[in-house]
Amino acid sequence: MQGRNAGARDWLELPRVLPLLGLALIFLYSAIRIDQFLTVGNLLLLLTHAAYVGILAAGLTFCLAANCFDISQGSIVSLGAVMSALALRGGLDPWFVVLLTFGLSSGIGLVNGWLVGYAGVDSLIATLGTNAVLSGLAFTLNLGESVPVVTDQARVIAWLAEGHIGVFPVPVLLLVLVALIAWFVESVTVFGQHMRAVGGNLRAAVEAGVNVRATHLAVFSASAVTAGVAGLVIMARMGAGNPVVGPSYGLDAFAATFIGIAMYFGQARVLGTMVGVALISLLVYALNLAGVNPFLQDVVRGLVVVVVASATTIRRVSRARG
Amino acid sequence: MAEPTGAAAGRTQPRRVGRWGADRRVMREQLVFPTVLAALIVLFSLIAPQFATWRNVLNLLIQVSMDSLLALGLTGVVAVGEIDISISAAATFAGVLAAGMMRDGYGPLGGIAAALAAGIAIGYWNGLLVGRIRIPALVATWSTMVILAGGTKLYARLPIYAGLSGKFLFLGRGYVLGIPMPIWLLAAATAACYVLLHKTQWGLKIYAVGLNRVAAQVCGVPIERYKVGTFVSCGLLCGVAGVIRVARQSMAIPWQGLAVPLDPLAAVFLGAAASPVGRVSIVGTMLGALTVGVMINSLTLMGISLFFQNIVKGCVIVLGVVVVALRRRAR
Repeated sequence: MQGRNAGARDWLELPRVLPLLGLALIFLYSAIRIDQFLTVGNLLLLLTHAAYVGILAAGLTFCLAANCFDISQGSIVSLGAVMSALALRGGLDPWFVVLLTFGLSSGIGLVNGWLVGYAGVDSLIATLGTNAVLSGLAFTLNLGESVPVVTDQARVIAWLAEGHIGVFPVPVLLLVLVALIAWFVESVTVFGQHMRAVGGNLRAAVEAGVNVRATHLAVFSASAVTAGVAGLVIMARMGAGNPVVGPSYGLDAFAATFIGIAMYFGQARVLGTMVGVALISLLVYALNLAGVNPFLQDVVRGLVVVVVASATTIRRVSRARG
Repeated sequence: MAEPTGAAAGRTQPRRVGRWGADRRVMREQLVFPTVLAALIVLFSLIAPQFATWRNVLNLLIQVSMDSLLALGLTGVVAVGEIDISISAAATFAGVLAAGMMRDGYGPLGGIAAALAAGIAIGYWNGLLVGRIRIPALVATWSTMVILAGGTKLYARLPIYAGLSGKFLFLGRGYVLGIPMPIWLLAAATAACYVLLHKTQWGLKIYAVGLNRVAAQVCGVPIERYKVGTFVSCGLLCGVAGVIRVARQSMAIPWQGLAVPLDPLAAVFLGAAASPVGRVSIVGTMLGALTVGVMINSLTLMGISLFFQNIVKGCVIVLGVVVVALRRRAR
């Protein structure tokens, strides 16, 4: 994908106007349709729901920035949820469970990164393979059953899902934190530049002395760790580690990231992804509100991605023609 | 976006070719994959006595036939330098549509025609998005997959049993000369794809576009048309696969296979990775599909649960691709 540096005028381009306009229209529609929509409480609730997808998508953005595809995120969410629920039920210290989730998911990320960076396997087939293994694990660990958890004893974990700092729910703050860190890493650090170099032109990056292997390890770890954390928070929120929850979050994370890529004319950037997260979450909210069939919602989700992606490429082609 | 065929298209060195078509090392390389497959078959026949029976071999080939058809279509798409992850969802949609049409009284021919037309339309849509509008193939076919997943369940909430006539079911359950119909169809599709991709100028140009787009363009190959063409033929094969599956199961299940398909992708990538020059080919794909099929079949014979099968399958596929990639790197 080709991309270029952002300038102020880019914000007038169709690929950016379209999602933002859509966001504004859906927001307006919801505000008119429901009385209680424009209350702080409701908006924060909406943000809380967006937070899970947002955390996932932040990690995925790194992967796609390095031109890698991570399909295994959805099953890491499931596995994270089931594993942490089992660990809690087994009486492990909640702090240890948090650490365990971090360790486990970063381990999975390192495996993915090794497969792509060191063994040289195509990222799609590598993560598809690990995805089969991980979802199989998530289902076999408790024989496909959901693992109920009482989080009364586990204050930390309950706090992660239900707690507040001031008026702000913790998942929302977690999303803000993750997004800020991701933005910092992407825009300020050298690693961010390496990531985009690997994504832009692998051979050129190698020639320029970028440590491609380490970059692959890092981006896949980022995507796996965000998925693991999201799994933990989702588990705490639902009060159960359910192996079927992951894939739908993974799907929305992809949709959000793809919209973000289109907004940045082919580059995966955290800011674009976050707009994508907002658009997808608000869209799902409004469609539910309007009583639209959930299967039709899938169709709409796919169409939104196609339309925004087309806007980018049509713009690029028309530019190239003059 | 990724050149998704990194493993397939990347490391192709021009190789000196002897007078008789191939030098010794290439010959040796070509024999590695069949040898591994043969070793697996011997191993599994020793572990599971039911494995090497005629009945089970036919069964295995029938099981393989559907994913192989998808993998055949995917081979062309990967050869042209793109990827299609909507194949499995397209097959499901086509199959459910066929069953729905037959339920509504359009007869077996109407149902089959609808399924094939749906497959072609989906392929054309993908080809348009990727070839003409130039959306990265993963994004485009991902969105097609999501749309089809929703669309299939919108069209039918529950499995469709009604209206599947005996003539239609013959496609999945009938025998001709002692060989089940799905195997005949798979053999015909394999032969057709082999000729198209390896024995015609079209095939040559498909590879040309995939290996070096700019060079192909300079040589006057209409790139967009070739991309659309491969996606359309892939879609057509998805339609065939969908019909066969419905005919074999005697019903259309609307929630089957709506995710990113592991087995066909694994077949294509294993086949490409194991070939001497790391390029996709029909023979490689079929060998890959057979390997995956042999594995699944013998795991089932050993009585391993479906979830656990997934774990083993994922491990073996990852391991296979890694071993081949590392061997290539070591050279």
